[in-house]
Amino acid sequence: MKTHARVIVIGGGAVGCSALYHLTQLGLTDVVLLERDELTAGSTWHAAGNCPNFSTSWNVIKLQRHSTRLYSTLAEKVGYDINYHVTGSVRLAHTRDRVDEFRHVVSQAHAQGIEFEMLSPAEIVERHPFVDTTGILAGLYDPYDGDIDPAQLTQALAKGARDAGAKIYRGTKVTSIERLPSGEWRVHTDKGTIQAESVINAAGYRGGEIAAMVGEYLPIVTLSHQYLITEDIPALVERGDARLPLLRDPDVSYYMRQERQGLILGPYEWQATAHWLDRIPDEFANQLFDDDLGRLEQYIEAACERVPILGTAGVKKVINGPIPYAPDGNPLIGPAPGLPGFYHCCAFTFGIAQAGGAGKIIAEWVAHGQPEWDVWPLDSRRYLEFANDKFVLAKAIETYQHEYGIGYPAEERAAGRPAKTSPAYLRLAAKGAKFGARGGWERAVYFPKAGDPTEPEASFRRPAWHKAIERECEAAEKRVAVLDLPGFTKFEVTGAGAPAWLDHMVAGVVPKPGRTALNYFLNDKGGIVTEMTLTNLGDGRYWLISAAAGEKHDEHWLREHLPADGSVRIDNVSARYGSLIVVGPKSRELLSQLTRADLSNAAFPWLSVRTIDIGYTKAVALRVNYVGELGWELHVPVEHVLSVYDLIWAAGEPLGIADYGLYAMDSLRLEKCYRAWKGDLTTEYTPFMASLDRFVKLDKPGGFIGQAALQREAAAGPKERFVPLIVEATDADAAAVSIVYDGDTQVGLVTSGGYGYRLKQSIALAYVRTDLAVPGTVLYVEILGERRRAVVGKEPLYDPDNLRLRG
Amino acid sequence: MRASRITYVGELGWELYLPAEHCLDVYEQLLEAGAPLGLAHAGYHAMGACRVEKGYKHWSHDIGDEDTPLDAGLGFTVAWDKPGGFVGRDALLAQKAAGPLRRRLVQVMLEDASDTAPLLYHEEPIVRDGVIVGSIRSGAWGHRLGRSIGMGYVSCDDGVAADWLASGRWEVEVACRRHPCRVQLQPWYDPRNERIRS
Ligand SMILES: Cc1cc2nc3c(=O)[nH]c(=O)nc-3n(C[C@H](O)[C@H](O)[C@H](O)COP(=O)(O)OP(=O)(O)OC[C@H]3O[C@@H](n4cnc5c(N)ncnc54)[C@H](O)[C@@H]3O)c2cc1C
Repeated sequence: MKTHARVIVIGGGAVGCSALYHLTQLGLTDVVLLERDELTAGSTWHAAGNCPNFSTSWNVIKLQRHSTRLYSTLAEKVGYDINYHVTGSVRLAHTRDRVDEFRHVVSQAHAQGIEFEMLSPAEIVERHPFVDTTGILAGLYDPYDGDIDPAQLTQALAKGARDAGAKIYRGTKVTSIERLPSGEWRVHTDKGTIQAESVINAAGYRGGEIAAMVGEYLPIVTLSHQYLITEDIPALVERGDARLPLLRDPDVSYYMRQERQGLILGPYEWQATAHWLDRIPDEFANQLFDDDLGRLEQYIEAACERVPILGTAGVKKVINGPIPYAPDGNPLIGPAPGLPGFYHCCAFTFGIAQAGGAGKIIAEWVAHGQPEWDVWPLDSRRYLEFANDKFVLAKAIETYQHEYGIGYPAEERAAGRPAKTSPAYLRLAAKGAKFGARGGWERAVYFPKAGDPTEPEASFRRPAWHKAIERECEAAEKRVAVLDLPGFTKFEVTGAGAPAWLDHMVAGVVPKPGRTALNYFLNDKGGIVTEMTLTNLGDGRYWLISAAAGEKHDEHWLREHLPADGSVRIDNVSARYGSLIVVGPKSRELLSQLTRADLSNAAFPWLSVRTIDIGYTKAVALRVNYVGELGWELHVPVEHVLSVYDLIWAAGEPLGIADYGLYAMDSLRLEKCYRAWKGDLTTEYTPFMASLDRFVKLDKPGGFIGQAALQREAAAGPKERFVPLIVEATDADAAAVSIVYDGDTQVGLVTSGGYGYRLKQSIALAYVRTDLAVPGTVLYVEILGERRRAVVGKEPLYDPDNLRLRG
Repeated sequence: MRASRITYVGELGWELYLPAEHCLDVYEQLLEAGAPLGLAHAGYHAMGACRVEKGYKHWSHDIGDEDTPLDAGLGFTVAWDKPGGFVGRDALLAQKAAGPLRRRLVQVMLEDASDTAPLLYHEEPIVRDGVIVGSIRSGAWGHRLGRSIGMGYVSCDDGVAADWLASGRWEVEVACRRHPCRVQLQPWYDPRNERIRS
């Protein structure tokens, strides 16, 4: 075995081999793959091999489309035969919500150049003559769906990599991993030791074992998933070489496809079953679990009714194999914080369909330090410290049960909750608050009242909580409203080097003492890594405040850029402070009753920070908010949150105070065109594309990360600009990733949308071609299959001169 | 979460240290798991009574800057020979060298076993053979013992030794009345720590 390599990939399933192949394609050829058994011995060998493009996630569609494009040329490119049948696929919709989902996804696919089609019941039968369409409203056709032989795919990727210089060592089990003082990784195996700059953990359901070798916990649990293969079916034998398209019946929860002259049926059953909760048996490889058809009975019956030929042949074989799940069913791809050079690429539930795209992403992480696409929903850093076995299990089972669930724009699922609660949680719960979990934190999403409609809770159209949000927005606009917002990520930055370091980290200006400013952290391509409120507390301390879900991601970015001389210190104080947001024209009148601090415009202007007394504590009070009204964000020691909340409420009652939740906040911020991190702002956009020019100080003397890229972009002009659109919508607003058209030409992408209650207008925030980013331009947004007139507005739509904020 | 198998009440048990934001969730899980086992809530006063029965000291009541670990019977916590030493080591060594301890914390139990026995709070004089030799630092009704109890320091120039404790006629003065009592060095409740180790 070699003793040194640039990169070591651990695990020779479809994903590990794709990572290896993509590394070689990026010119990294001094690369090695270690596989404890044979290639494919984990989950890969027994997979059904379905390769859809469909997903309700924009990123996952991208990744899967990369796979299917790659697979269609791979055999020829590397000279290794692969059985890959691009049969197309039909999905069935039983409900209106499902039809809405299909329409939304069709539009997303079109935007990526994938010709999905909606099908009528008659067209479904044209594609798949054996489907009984009773009760079916519509179908979706994916022309590039199909099935591939997973073992051949893996071997082909391995061959391509080997031909380019990669080495693959089979029967070589990684037993421990060591970090050398040089920063290199030393990987110990039962066949000897090898060193490398970078390591990729592609160990599938054993990804957690590899992570544990470097002291990290990965949220993965193994579930079992089954499909059955029938004997030959006479009706299919008669058809000779003609192959049926794949069939998916998500409202019942199964897939079905032709395998030789029989059918494969694979349900995602409600009785999701976990295995190996204590440990994975060391000897398990190339094995299956015992069949358990009982779990599948109702699905088999439903499938036989839908496709009667299924019932005409007996079961030839049942495959019941291990499949790794992260809590949300998405893989864990990305760098391990605090372990430079160590990367994860595991926990794939659709690892055959996703191996191609995943290999590209992880190879780019290693070779370029960042992937071309922003794939935050798949990033291994999305799970925060608290995620433990119990949480992972509860969530994974729920995800498996909903594998074919409808991907609503907003839905709060119950498993694994409550995990983190604010001290005011029970108070809000007693008022009937509905909650959602963000980074594990329970936050109120809305406050229903008796008499409000209760159905539907989730929908592509305006759901039942429309009424509640309207009330909450009105309180913020006309009176005063309070939001308990626990879990903001907060870093305290101190040290002699802090001012200069911060200045280099952000594109904008570090605020003066007592001032606060939004700031953007860019990568060296100018892409937006994160957005934080940077506050200068005036006593040598700086606070950085960002999204709860970004805690690990943001801390990683900050720490990996810390100067080596120790002149800057970062403390994560996220859990030490809770946040109470008080907004509305009467917020000053309210808070003045609770503090001796002077809240006048002269003493406490907009965009400033003061430490004020409130209740029996002190709060870091910021005169900023995300809703565009007069207001303050109060960050108080967590143990005081409840008492301060109660004081605010008592003083607010005579003023007509109301609670508001995240859904109202989202509507209010749309009207102000405030961007949301990872919704509107991703690494694929620069601040110029995001129309955040006023937050960039391009000629900063000390420079900043991304400066050169932004200077180039400034010279050439950004190719897209972020604009608000006023949409002529009916009962459905533009969901994220709706497509913007100019006539028939696709010219942009909506990154968030919704209804603005103060403006009484449907709003979409979108990136559009720069020449069209002019107020008054008439464009169209595709919402649930229909193009709606959308006029480019001037931001901010609400209170354009910020008079209310300064009020 | 960090779990410590320690106790301040003298029973089998654990102290759970967890991030504040997870307390409600874990608390509710404890309630659920505990319901079939007869889990009950206990407050600060119950904790206080239990710890007095067990002779556990409370900082500022039973131990403060006028008391040494040797006075308080906490000599077992002192790592005499640790490299680097510790603040106060010389003074403690001097006290040790000076012969038998002349002041020690003792456990007190009133002889009156009725439930009208007076309660001890603090500063009640401890009397031996009619002479005041010390005072109560903390007291409680010991619900597991069914007795009024307390602890306090007593002094004797010849050293506070077991036979001196065993030989006298002991009383505690409460509101100008003297009540017969027993004194000893070890706790009244589970002196062999069998429950804690169970
Ligand atoms: C019944 C069934 C049907 C499925 N059908 C589909 C489908 O139709 N389409 C689809 O996309 N997905 C499907 N899947 C999921 C798919 O099988 C997995 O997502 C995919 O195989 C994961 O590939 P991988 O390379 O990440 O993991 P694996 O294939 O499990 O590879 C991981 C490798 O790492 C090796 N390894 C582990 N530990 C070590 C160590 N210490 N040292 C060295 N090597 C190590 C293992 O031996 C293994 O070979 C199905 C799964 C099941 C169970």
